[in-house]
Amino acid sequence: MTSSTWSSDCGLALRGAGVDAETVARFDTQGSGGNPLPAVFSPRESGHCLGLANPAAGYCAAFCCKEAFFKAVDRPFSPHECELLLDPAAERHSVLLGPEVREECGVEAAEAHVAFSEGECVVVVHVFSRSPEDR
Amino acid sequence: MTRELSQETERDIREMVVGFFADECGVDRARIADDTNIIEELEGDSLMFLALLERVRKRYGIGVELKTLARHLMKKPASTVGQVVHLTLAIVRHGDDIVNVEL
Repeated sequence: MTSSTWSSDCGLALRGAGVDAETVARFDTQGSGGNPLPAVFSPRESGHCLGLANPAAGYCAAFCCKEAFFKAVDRPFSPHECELLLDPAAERHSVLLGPEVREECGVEAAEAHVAFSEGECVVVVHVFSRSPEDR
Repeated sequence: MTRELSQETERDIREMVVGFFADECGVDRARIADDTNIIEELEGDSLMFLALLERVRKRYGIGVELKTLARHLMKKPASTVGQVVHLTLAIVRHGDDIVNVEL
């Protein structure tokens, strides 16, 4: 490697990466019938998950995304400001970031790679800033 | 704003925390002490802690922001059952003001 700065295909600098894994069954909504953790999942995120064929997969991926994002930025943030709306057919997702988390964490964009295997969900999040100096 | 807690409420919160970890981790209550390490001995994790917090929210009607709590935990991590009991009592007492409280 000749450079310490990685870039995304949108021209932003890679600020950090995080990974998290969780068991999908832990997000089973059959008991509650709704958002299992309202402090964690936003109404938009929860509504999206409940519309999926497997809501637990959506909640699990969204949770892993928030945990992986936290590992990448190493700063506290409001979980509702970092949303993942799972598309079961897609591997790569844009993470929806609110203005507060962008400002406080110095992040311009984030993308999540989601994979499921044997009841487990693994999410890798790449976090990008506008310039390497924002790191 | 600080909420005064009766001894009965403090006992109730302690019982709730210990009972929660006993149920979630499939461990006999008698095996859980204040110095039991949640991650190393009970195999607990952050999701479990968030589920406990949700239970506390519903039961005591508190609205502490997770960002505030995370900020507090980065300064003062809670790794044992006793520390989580202490933290839960503080959350119910102080809500979002917890970040300004020296525990």
